[in-house]
Amino acid sequence: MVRRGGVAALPQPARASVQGRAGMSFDTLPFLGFFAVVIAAYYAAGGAARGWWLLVAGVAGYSVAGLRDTVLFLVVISANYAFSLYVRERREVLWAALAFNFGVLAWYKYRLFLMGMAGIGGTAGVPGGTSGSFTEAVVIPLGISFYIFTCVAYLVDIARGEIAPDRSFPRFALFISYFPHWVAGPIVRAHVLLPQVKRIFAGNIRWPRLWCLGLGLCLLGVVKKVVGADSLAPFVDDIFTRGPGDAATAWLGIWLFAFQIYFDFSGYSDMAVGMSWLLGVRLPMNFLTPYLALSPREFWQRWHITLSTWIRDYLYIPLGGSKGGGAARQALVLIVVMGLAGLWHGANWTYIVWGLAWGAAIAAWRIGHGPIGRLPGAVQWAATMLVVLTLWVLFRAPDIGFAGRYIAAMWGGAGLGEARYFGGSGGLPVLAGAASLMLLHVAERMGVQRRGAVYLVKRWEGPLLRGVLVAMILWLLVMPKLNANPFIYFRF
Amino acid sequence: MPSARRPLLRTLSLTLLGLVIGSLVVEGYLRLAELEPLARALPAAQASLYGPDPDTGYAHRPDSKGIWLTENRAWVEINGLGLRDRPRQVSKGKDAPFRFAVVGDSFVEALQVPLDATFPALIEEEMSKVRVPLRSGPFTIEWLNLGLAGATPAVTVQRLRALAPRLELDAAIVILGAGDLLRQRPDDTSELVGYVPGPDGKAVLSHAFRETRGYKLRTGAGGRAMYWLLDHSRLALLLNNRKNAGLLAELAEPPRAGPPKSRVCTGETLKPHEDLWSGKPMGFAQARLDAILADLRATADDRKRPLRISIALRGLPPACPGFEDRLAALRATISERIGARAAQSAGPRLAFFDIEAAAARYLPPGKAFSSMFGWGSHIGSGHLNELGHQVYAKAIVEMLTPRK
Repeated sequence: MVRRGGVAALPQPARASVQGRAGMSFDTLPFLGFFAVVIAAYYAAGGAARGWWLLVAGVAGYSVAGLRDTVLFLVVISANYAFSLYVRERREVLWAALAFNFGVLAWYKYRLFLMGMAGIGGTAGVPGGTSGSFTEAVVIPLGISFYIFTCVAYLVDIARGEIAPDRSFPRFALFISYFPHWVAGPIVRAHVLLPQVKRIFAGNIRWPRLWCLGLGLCLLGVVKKVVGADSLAPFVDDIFTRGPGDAATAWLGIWLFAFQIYFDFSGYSDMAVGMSWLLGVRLPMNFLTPYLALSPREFWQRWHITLSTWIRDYLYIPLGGSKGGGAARQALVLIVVMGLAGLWHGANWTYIVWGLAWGAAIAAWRIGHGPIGRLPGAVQWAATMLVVLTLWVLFRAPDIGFAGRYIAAMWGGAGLGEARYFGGSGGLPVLAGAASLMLLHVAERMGVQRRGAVYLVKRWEGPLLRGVLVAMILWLLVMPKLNANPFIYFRF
Repeated sequence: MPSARRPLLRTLSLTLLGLVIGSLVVEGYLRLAELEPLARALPAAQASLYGPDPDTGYAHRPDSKGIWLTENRAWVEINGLGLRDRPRQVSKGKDAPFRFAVVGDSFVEALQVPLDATFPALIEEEMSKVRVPLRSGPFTIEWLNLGLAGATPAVTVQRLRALAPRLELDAAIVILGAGDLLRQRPDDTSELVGYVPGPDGKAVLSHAFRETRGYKLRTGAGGRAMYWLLDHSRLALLLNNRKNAGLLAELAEPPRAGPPKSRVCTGETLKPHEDLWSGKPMGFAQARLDAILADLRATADDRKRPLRISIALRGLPPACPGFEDRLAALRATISERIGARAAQSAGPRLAFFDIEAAAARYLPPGKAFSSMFGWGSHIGSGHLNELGHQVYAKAIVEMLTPRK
């Protein structure tokens, strides 16, 4: 079993891909150098050259992931471009395109799992199997889950007549390979990004007036990743590797993981949105302080928003989950769709059960929304967090058995191991630290996500604030990673 | 000034001011990150503890301090004598405590654990509590930590030679890496003291590093300014950390995790050590070993300040299933060779101390030898963890306690 997190390790055959991913992680100096060159050349270029430059930068940046991943990326882009030209007129082309895209995803991401299920080899597909994105020895092509979903959404939108296909291959290629989002989202729809891509190729870019907003988002993302997620990773790894020795440590471990994955993923998204702002491109926000949600449904309206809306628009509604068919059918569709969402995250039963459980939780809340809705907000929040934390165990655990034992330990069952964080005089600082994470979350909601923050940036926009933000970003990226903590969602 | 230039100058000035303010904010954060309990978790600048030294090439810089982040976290302070130890006087003073020292590499320096958890500190605390009477000598005992990360056998020997008279040591345990002694080529002396072939074919200590450009730079005005900055600015430390890691460090192979190195002993494991200690030709390794033993004997024989030295080897397997006889024979050979050297003059002042075999006897029941090393997720498997330091302390106290 190969571990991730506090000390990253991946097997020899994937070395080039790992080095590439590490270097192209947004929170590194090499990536900063890459972005500095890209943005300087972008604004120095004129007319359509900007579009070509971004396209070259996107593909070149992706190429550090290795030859296999790059060739696959280009093949997928080319195939989907070809499909897009005919998908509106011929429905069978859409089915072929979907088969191609999901076939590619299945082959590269799920074949070990499917083979295990079929009993052909390995334990990946076996319910007790130990394969998982936090332990797996297989390296998935960089960002495959994200760009495949982007392509599928594009083709379905064309087939539905909602958008027209873009006949320009460079524009389509840039839409898919636009580098701030190709690795870990946000999953951007064609109607959001393609018009902006067209403007770039037409030489009609939108000059950002609020540079500090983009820089501020980048800084927020860097702080979340470097200070937030990377600080929590060693503790989460320790508790999950050694096993919690008591219930308090078990709760602590999953609480810290909840914030680790939030800081990691939302930090990445903030950086993606911030960098795009600096390029004059608007990407959608992907997170809205999800741990303040008062229901499971609201959680998914605030967590990985672009994935949620993708699932709603391309799975849930087409399968009849929105209207008609009765509450039972809607609940069933919801559970199935969330199960598929879980599967998207990784080829392991833990993710599938995680998704199914989320579907069940949302359905249950929907059924009981009357009495639940009358409870005080604090109780609704606590109940939602209970669901969130319990289900995160499935996400982090290497297998179902471990997840079950961990959840049992949370509720007073036998400890899983030796990790104890609340003995002696260390308990109070640990508790205070854990509590402060939620306070930071509230502060983000109250401070950063309000319009006031934008007005503040507008008021101070200028070279002074730009210098402050650039300096802070630079110094945080200068800090070398003494233990490698790659972005969690790079694994998907 | 032409009016067109004024806005540009204003923009540049404000940008520069912004960069300075932003830098000061990060400097403030880095200082805050060193305070407890934030220091347990937040990313921070790793301490810079080392500087040039004329005896060994490098050593701890007196009064430097900070957080050590590699392999576990610990707050580290170097005392005024340049030791990773509590504050001490150079001279023993009128009460004349008996001064022990443990000399070695990062294994002894133990930056990964707090000072009071290191085995020299634990021994000192234990012996001062119990006031264990030594076989000879007074009751009051000090244990000094002379560990230095990266110390080769040559650095360890030279460090003891230089510091023993200065610190008025009475006894020392010298811990050498058994594997380090197997190197068959002369030492590289471009940065450290090392053993090289002398005119008569024997190995001699060379201080060639003193003539290198790097050493002269570090000991010159520029070097002193750099170390002053490192002591007073966390941003300077951050740049130093980045320099040490590499500008494009993230593109290098990521650190490998995995279980601790296997300590399974086989005949193949033992053979090089058997060859070395029994005197078989092994390139420069024999000449180096001879020189090490001769230099340690000479240190023990110092007329002004004779010293009792126990030589311990780190990295010899504590047990060798199926090869127990060979392992026992190896230990006997080591003891004989050191004893033979000692017999030339140092007598009982030079002896072999089988530290790992002793430590193995003090492991808590049910614990494997490997449980003394590393932390949690297979980090730092080459260094003693808190349990390891406790076991080593017990083993050494036992060695020194008169048998009833």
